[in-house]
Amino acid sequence: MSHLSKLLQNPQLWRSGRRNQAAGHNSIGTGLRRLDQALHSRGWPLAGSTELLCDHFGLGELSLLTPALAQLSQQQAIVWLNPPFKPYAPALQQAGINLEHCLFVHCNGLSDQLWAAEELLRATAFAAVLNWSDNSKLADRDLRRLQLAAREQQCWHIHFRAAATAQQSSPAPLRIGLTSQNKQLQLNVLKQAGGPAGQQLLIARAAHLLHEQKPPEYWPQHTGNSKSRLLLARLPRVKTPLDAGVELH
Amino acid sequence: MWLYVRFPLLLLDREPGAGVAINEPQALLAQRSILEANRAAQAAGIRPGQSLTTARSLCPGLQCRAPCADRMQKQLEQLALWAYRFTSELCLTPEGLLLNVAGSLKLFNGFLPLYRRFQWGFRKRRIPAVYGLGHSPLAAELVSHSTTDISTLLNEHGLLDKNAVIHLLNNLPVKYLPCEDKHQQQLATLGLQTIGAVNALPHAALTRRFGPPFSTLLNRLYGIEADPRKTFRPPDYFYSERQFNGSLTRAEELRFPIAALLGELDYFLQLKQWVNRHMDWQFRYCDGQSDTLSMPVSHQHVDRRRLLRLVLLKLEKFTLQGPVDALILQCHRFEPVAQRNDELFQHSAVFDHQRHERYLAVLDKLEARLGENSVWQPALCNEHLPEQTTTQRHPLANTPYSARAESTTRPLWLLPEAYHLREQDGIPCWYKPLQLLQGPERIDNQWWQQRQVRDYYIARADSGALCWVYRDCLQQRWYLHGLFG
Repeated sequence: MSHLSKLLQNPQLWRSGRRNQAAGHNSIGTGLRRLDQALHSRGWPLAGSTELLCDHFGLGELSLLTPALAQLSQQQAIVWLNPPFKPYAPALQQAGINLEHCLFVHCNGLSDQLWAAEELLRATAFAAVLNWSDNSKLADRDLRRLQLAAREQQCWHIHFRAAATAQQSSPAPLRIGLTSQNKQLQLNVLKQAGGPAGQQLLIARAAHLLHEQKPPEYWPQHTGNSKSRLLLARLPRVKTPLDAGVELH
Repeated sequence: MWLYVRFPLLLLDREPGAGVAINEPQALLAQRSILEANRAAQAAGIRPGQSLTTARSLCPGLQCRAPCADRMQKQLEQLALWAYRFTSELCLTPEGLLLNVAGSLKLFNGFLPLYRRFQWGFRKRRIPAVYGLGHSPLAAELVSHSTTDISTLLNEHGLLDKNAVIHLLNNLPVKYLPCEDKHQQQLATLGLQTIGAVNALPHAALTRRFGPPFSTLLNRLYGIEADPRKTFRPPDYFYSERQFNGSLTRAEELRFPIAALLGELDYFLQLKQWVNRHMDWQFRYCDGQSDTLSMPVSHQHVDRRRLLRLVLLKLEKFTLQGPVDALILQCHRFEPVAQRNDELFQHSAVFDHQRHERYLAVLDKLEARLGENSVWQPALCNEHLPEQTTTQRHPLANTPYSARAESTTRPLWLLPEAYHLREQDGIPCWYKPLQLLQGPERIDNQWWQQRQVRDYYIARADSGALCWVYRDCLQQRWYLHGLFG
């Protein structure tokens, strides 16, 4: 009997119908209430790999992480390994990220990148490692090494990979596919620890980005009536029934 | 209690030369007569004092060279740095090292253990050494010429037996007295064979005949007069080298010499309570060429094994151009060791020192393998153009973060260089036509250098990505500049 209870205590054992309590222990809020609810860990897991699968940049994939990164970067360092573009420091600072705790690493070649990623994950000096390996084919063995390093050293490994790799199996406990759907960011949870996966969420982009300027025919007109005032066009408000009050910057 | 170490073959075994193997006969030459010969030459029958012609006829392949005082001095300084761990009262003489070990006996549990460590140290480096022991510096120097084992000069308590030393000195031939040749000849014509015989003469008469310096010499030899010497101080920079005489061809073989050099550096830094910020490795090849490998280090405490791993990591990408003759390690930039205070209560620590040390360690590793410019931090810069507001700085640079970002709509990603977009019916196209959402925001600046007039728009691409595009009003062209990631 004691064996069974010991087995039930094991956080790695998935039990259907019951949310894993231990999984929520080591996590950080995403800043989005609905996403927190969708994830069994109640936020981003702070140990292990999190795979974000997307083919395009500019969908809001980084803004999804900035609330958590901003919180982490206040105390601990964050590494950006091989980002696809240059960061724009004023925007990062505006998002609340402490620039002094950001370290950018650039390397050429897959072997160097894998080596650097593992060194960084094993260093136990960083809270998070953001790793972009765009189209490179990673062997299951390499992914497992990174996941193990991240889990053992309690480091959050955020791995951006191409959407096509969703078909390939991966040892990462959390995998999310990112696509753009009707001006919104669609999250498709492919896999997550501690419960069933398959959740789909739509997250709106920040309204000030999507604010559309109207062509002249929609502009306020003076009707000629002495009594009537200028008819002010209302600002378009992006509002979907799925999310209310959720904004991304 | 003075210990003297003389290195008779120091220059012969260690002289650099193109492809000269250590086991070829070599000799030092002074005024056309042999001064010293190495083991191979001695086996061929060459003895010090022979003329060059005799030596050449005995051994046709003999290589001769002149003694070089500078080089000897450099070698001795390197050895002195090692010997400095035994005593701080250490002097360099033209031929060897002189140490006052009286103050170190307790530390090393008596003279014999210290002596054994000394012997072992030189044997490990394959440097032939001859030892002398005496109650005065000069006595120790002269005793090194006698063939007696110096452990016989100790009494039953392991201390120096002064009478035994004086007895030994008395029996030494006069030729070892460090005085002028003229005086040596005079002593010979007087029929004085041993130093004891000279010392037995009245000193007043000796002063009259040979001058006051001679009697001072004798007094110093017997310890009657003080013999002040200039003591050795370790230099303010680190320099050490290892000679291989071209026997080393592969980078993997360098591991042990590198470890040994790092051991020396570690000892030097401990001595000075410093940490180094830079290591300069020099590989000198047999053909006179050399390669340098310089690497920055950012550690706070010297860890020899960690440094070794770093150097080996750096060497992975480094190919040797040929057989290595000498390996040199130099360090010039140092900082005092930062003393840090540990928190009394673990959890109250504001700054995690251990975490910071691990951070520095991984930084060193990355820089060693990926190159110096591969690791950077973003910094804000008070400039008007978007691409100039972010600058790269080294993670350990001490520039303060002063600038504050203004709150405007800006993308998180910036393209390394603005990408020129095709135009179709007045609409910019990135693969497919872009949908302009809002704008323009005009940036008109840098008129004093190169005027830039840009109208920035936020646009939506077909993939759903939000782009930051601008129309260059002077060139009338569209550019993609950033992405709202």
